[in-house]
Amino acid sequence: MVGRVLIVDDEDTLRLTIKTRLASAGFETDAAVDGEDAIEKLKHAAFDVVLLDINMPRMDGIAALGLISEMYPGTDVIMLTGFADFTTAIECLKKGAKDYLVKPIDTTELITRMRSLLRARNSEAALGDLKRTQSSFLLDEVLGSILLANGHLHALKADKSGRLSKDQNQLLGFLDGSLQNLATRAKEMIDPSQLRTTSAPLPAKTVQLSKVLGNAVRSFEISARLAGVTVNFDGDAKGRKIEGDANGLERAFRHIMGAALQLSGKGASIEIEELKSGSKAGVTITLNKLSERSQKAIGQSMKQADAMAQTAASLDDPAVLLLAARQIIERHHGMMKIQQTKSAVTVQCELPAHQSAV
Amino acid sequence: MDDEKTNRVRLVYRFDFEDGPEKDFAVELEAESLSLILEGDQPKPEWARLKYHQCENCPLPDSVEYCPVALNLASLVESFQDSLSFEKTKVIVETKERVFVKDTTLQKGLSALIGIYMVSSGCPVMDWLRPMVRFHLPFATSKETVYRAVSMYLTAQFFIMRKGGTPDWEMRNLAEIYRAISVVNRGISKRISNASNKDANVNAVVILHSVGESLPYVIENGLNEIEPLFSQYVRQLEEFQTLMRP
Repeated sequence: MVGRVLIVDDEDTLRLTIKTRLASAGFETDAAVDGEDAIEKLKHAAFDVVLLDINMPRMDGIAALGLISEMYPGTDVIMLTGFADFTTAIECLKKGAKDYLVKPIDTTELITRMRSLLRARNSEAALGDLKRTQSSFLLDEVLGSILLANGHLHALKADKSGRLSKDQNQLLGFLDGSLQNLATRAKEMIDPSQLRTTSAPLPAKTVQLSKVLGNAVRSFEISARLAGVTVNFDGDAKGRKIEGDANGLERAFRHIMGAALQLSGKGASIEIEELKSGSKAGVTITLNKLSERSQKAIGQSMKQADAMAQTAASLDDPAVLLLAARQIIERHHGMMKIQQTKSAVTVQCELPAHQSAV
Repeated sequence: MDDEKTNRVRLVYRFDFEDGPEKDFAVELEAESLSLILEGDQPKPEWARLKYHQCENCPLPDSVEYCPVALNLASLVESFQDSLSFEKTKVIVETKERVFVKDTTLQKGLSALIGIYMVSSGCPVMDWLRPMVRFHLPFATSKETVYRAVSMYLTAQFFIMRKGGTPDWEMRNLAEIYRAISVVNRGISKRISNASNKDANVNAVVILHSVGESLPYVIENGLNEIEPLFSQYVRQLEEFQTLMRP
């Protein structure tokens, strides 16, 4: 467990003593002479912990604490005070300091506290990673898949050709109920605040975009036909290549297609086009001939997908699918933009092109 | 300044502030014992009582009413109870042999003076550093203090050896001495903290403490901080001793 520590004190003897002791205990250290110097050092290097003296010339410890808490929330601060002024110490704790030590410092105790703080930080970081991974997995892979399956099921139920028997329709109803229950449970388990932080990029391989798109489109052809929606995709075999994860990208396009299908309604058409120019690779999915009701529903879903602070349970199904797609696109260092005009809605996904394609 | 007639060692510490009156402190020590001579009525504040935040390792019996270190520091602490540690000052230290002048912070100047008062007080723990007062070096860096402490200790070991005793050339006990001194520094800082409104006095002790705290580790690490300064000299000495061998 190596921690990076910034020691901030106007007194050189103290800086040197703490620096030497922490370094001999295995910490990486640097030192600053006052608050201003500390802020400068933080601009250029990340630190796990700042040991911050309170009384210093130029910028004192309390002012520096305010700035550090605001600008570097991932850095923990331990206040050092030469004067056992507990009112000030409590003020510092309220302002975000993790701990405070009264000088003269017992360096053995300091090392013990530092280790315990770093252990807590590591556990917190691991828990955060776990929460992010869990929420991302639930959104992208579990809930997205359930909602897509549900979409197909609805298309099947909406088929009025009479090809399904009464029993088959009843079974579809049971299936629908089970999927709805699963979707509700998954939505309850997602913490949208965890999705705000960028998840780790997906594993990258060279992927031909048109192939991935073709797979996604094909999985919707039957549902689209049953729902009375036209899907047009002119796949280009020599289209752009990107660095990405084929499964992830296919999932993202399926999420967008699923949301589009759920929102478009009978008579609408979905046009899928690859971006043909520039250094970016990408896809534009346009929903045309939308009914007034669909237009309104899309606007609502877009707003929901943008407002990630809500609970996942409050999002409608297309909003969840759009949100899941956006997560995947962003994990590919890409960007997803939804625009609504009077007669159409476009979902544009831009992705960094494979180097040889630029 | 050694005054041969009165058999005293005299030092004067002068603090010359940018925006304020100059403050002088004359320190008189008995030349042989290096004990501080306190003349006239000296304050005996409550915080100087032995039982008030008594150091964990204090060897003094309950019959002793006042902590000798605290009594020595009482006047000085009172003078700077409302001062900030990082206040700029020019410190002039006059001894018989020379005058030291340094533009520094109050805490740094005060720490040098407090160091003398503590070591010359008669505190049985601080007594381990008593000879260093005679070779007082104001504003010493950590390295200089390490060198002086080691020199003092090894000189004493030489005298022990000459008297037929067992010298501690490994300096195992010096690390222990400094650990005990750290405890006293912490105890004194608690007393002073309660007797001050601002941090100059406390931070002056904090400086002494931080040097003392690091010393056991410096010794345990084989004096690696100052070893490079000696590498050439050690080589020369080894060659010389080989030549001189009968």
